[in-house]
Amino acid sequence: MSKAVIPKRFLERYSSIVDDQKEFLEYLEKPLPKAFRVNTIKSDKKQVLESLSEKGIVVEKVPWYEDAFVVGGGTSGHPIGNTIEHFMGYIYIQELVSMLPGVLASGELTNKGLVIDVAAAPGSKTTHLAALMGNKGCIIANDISYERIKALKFNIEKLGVLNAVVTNQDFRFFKLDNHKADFILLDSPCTSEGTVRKEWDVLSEWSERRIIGMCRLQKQLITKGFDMLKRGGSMVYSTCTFAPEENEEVVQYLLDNREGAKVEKIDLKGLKTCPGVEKWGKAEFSGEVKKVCRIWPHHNNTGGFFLAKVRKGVE
Amino acid sequence: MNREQIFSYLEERFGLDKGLFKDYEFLEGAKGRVFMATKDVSNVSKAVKAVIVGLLFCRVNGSVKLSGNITQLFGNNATKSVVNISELEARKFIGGEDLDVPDTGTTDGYVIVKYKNYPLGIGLLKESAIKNMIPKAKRTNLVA
Ligand SMILES: C[S@@+](CC[C@H](N)C(=O)[O-])C[C@H]1O[C@@H](n2cnc3c(N)ncnc32)[C@H](O)[C@@H]1O
Repeated sequence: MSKAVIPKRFLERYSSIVDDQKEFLEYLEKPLPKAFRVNTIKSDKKQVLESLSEKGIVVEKVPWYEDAFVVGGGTSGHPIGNTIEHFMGYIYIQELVSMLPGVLASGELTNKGLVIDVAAAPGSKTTHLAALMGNKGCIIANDISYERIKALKFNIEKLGVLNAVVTNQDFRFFKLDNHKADFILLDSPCTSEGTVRKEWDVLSEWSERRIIGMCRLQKQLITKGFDMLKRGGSMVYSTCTFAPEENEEVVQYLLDNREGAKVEKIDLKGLKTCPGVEKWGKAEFSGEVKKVCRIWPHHNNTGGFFLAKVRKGVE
Repeated sequence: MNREQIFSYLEERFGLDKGLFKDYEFLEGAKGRVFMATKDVSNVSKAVKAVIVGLLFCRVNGSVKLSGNITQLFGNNATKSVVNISELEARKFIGGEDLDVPDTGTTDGYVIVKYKNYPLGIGLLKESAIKNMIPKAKRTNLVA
């Protein structure tokens, strides 16, 4: 299969905000390390690691998250999906950056609160949140796509999640009273530029028009999500894309339109992150928006990612 | 069959104490399905248009068939009707094959199929054979 070419406009766009264009490009073309998360709902981490090691599989720790591991050594080609640990749902194969929303959420979650996962399918993050809540409380796991909900259902079942109710709605029109949720994850639909290392095809569909369209949807989703938060509650907004229109601009939009919204600083020890961009085209973002977090593929050998943590003021 | 009858069956057949399930709600679905969820999920599910609530617990159809996923979650608590199998058999079972098991010492009916510390799933024991009930999508050919 021949690879799509990286669109020229794509490179032009990001040359002003990426620190090392050459490295960036190099990493875009490299395959991703194979990572997994231990599913603490069903398994004991120590036993899982012992059992994998008995099979000769070498796993490496990840400095910023204790339940994340990378298949390494000379065994990175091992089909870890064909182990008994995987069959049992003791491990879940998941790209490292996809675990970050859970890591940011962990301090916010309790075993009784209400969590809403706005765009949940296929459930990598729902199942992660469920584990972090000790399989207690309630997660509303929503997705607009019925097709994708099938995969969400499969993963919820396989990982043993007892604290989720699945809904199938366009979240912009989700029917539930405002001010109910303790925590909201908006792992937003996006143009997925940061996933090229997994799926080169995202580039063949790439266009600035798609970015603009996504940006409009994301602004609606983030305000709706924010309105559903309790006072004092928090929301993580994440995307796997580089475009500032889908990232900083969306966060700025929320700040401009909802008085109680505050951006919180993100502190991820052991991971190289960059602050939000300050300017993009004609847009200038406020100092608050700089507190968001960008993850470039070449900094930690991961996919690309964007994270923002927002809190709803108490008064 | 009501809830109490389901729990007594699980107690009698597998030695699964009903206390294991006391913090949860059990909801009836279509075709004899019973779902298990936290109380919070059960409450919230009344306020939203839910398509799935919690996890399939069992199917009641004359007898009670515990779901494979619940078996994996709670199976290590079972004290009876557990059939321990070898590594070779585990490979076959996970791959979707039925198993020949000459003397299990267990009466015919549903059994928990276990390899080492892994409660792999539920099977139907009949005439010294265990019928495989792992759904196709979950079957795996183990490597290593
Ligand atoms: C990035 S994916 C989510 C991945 C998921 N959070 C996970 O970790 O497995 C974005 C999802 O948003 C869903 N989506 C798109 N528009 C939506 C809308 N208006 N309301 C709810 N979900 C939507 C898509 O169907 C897609 O599954």
